[in-house]
Amino acid sequence: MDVFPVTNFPVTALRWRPVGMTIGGGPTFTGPGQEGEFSGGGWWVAELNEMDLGDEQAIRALRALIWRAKKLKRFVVPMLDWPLSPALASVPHGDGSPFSDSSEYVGGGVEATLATSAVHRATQVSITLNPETAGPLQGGEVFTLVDAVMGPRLHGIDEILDVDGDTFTCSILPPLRTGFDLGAEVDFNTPRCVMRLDDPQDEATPWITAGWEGKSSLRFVEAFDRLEVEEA
Amino acid sequence: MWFSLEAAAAAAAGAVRPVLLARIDAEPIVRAWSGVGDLFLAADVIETTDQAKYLGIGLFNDWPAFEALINGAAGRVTLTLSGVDALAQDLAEAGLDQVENQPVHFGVLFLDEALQPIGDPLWLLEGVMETVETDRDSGRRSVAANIGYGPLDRRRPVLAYWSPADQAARAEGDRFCERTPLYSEGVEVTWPRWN
Repeated sequence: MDVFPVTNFPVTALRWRPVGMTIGGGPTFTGPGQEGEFSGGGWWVAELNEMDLGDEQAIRALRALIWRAKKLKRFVVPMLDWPLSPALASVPHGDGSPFSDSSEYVGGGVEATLATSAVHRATQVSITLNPETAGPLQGGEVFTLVDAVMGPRLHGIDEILDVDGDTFTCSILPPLRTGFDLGAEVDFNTPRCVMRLDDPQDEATPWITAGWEGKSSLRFVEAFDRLEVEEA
Repeated sequence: MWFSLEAAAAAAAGAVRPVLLARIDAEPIVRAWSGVGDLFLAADVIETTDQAKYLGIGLFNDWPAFEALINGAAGRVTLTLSGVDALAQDLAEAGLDQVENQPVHFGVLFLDEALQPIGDPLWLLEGVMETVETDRDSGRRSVAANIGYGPLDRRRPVLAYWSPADQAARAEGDRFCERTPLYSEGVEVTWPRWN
């Protein structure tokens, strides 16, 4: 499955959010009304607003991608979330001194694995973080788990339930799309998700202004296609 | 099958997380739920297969209103799935004989705060798939399933009324319906006037 090259088109505003189907019941005689959530966890929606198409090369590339999406092609869309991922650990020089601007060496990315196996639709996972690579989890981070059938799926940490050394028990949303074994890689570095372009009004195709420039806004919705066909 | 105490407590709370289930007992069995992705359910009275896979269809286009049926009345609901492609429409037409007259069940399952099922699903309605209609309206294709429930065919039970005589015939000496003739139906209750 192809990766949508988000970084080729600088966006003005970026928003990723899990959405579901929440309805309110209205006020009742006995107090405030009920709220109901019917989707059992919801799915991801990504909005990429005002992508800057600076030259004809970018317009050509984006047009080709939109036309492929119109054939219902699914893309892996990266979330571009590295400032919000767990803080990377850094080391000073051998004598303990930092660089002249007081920064230190930073290398690699966050290394994390599942500390226990996790079942399908679980909303609690235990993640072991390599403390030499990154600081502690705080909630609000996103990560990706890759399954051979479901592809890469995005999950967000909404609460840290328990900390045991380097192992964090986290409450996550949305529920896991499939079960995972102990030791599965938890990817905090490149959070990404299988998505489809949601473009019923055909607004993704950019208006081209004089000078061959344009801006385009895209909206992606998590797709539930399987990469491999399962046996029924 | 029945509402568990935990499910009742969840339903009474300010925030409820119900998911809707549909199961058509055709060959193969059609299972769907109102979320996304797969949902695996344990076997119960209706669902005979353990860990059966319910297909997430995002949302039912129009979840119909069900009526509580008393006194031998029958009801009918129509479930419509809009925006299907031509292939799905063809398949629905070709597979008509496989689903007609098959039992259909609708249920609701409550999820807890961690989005895990609370107990068994509550199967609200048992119906019979009557006909499947396909429609094409200005380029938009839809498949509609008519589902009948209650005593909908000519096998209406003779003793269908909650009257004292019927109840006595059902269970001799039972006084459950003794006072039903006192009930008035379709009458507006007015405030008493004292002058």
